[in-house]
Amino acid sequence: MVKIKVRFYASLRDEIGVGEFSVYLNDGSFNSLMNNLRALLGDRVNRLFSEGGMLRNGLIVSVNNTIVYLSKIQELKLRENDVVDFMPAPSGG
Amino acid sequence: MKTTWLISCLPPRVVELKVKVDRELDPLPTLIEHLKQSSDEVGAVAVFIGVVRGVSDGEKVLKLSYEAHEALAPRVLKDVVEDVKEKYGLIDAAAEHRLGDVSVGEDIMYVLVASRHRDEAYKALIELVDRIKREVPIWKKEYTEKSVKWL
Repeated sequence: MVKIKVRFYASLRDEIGVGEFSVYLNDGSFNSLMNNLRALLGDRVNRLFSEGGMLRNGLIVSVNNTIVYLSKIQELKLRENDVVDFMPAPSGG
Repeated sequence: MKTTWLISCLPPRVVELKVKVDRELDPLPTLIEHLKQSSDEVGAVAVFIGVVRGVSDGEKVLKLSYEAHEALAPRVLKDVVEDVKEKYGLIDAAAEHRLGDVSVGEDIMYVLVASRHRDEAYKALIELVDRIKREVPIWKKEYTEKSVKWL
């Protein structure tokens, strides 16, 4: 099992109803994280992923404060104590 | 007789990009002066000031509140500024963005570019402001008389 921390920012945090929590993954894959989040968040996970399991358009994901590009997300290998952040599209200025 | 050789080894002037994501902005005249002093070749400084508008979709705005990913935002901001600086051959550039509550009429962000000629300054400034709004993980919540919403 791999324990990681998941954090949500701004509108995502409000829509999902929680700022952060820890999850235990069977392995460190992104699919494992996605399945875990589906089980924990129910319908609220739709704010993150489409029905096909794709990350929603515009969302930003980072691992340990490094942005993960969409094309590389399936290659993720999460490790113990990693911090995964989900962020909505920026709206600064 | 002892001879001492003095060798001048002063490094060339290093221009450090000034970027900041914080609750307070630096004074604008200080930022402008910083850019003007960055090189004798500066011939133009263009400045963008983002300001909180008092009306949004017909509703009276009370304030905007800004949140950022505090580790990522300054880093992405620096990357974007460096990228645009290189693309347009700017001499220097700076960008600062506020966090927390910002009242109507107050300044939200300063974006400045310094170049040899005005043409590249105009173009670079437009692109830089657009990219900051689109890429830097900062979010705003709008408080009006009738609603509170993330934008």
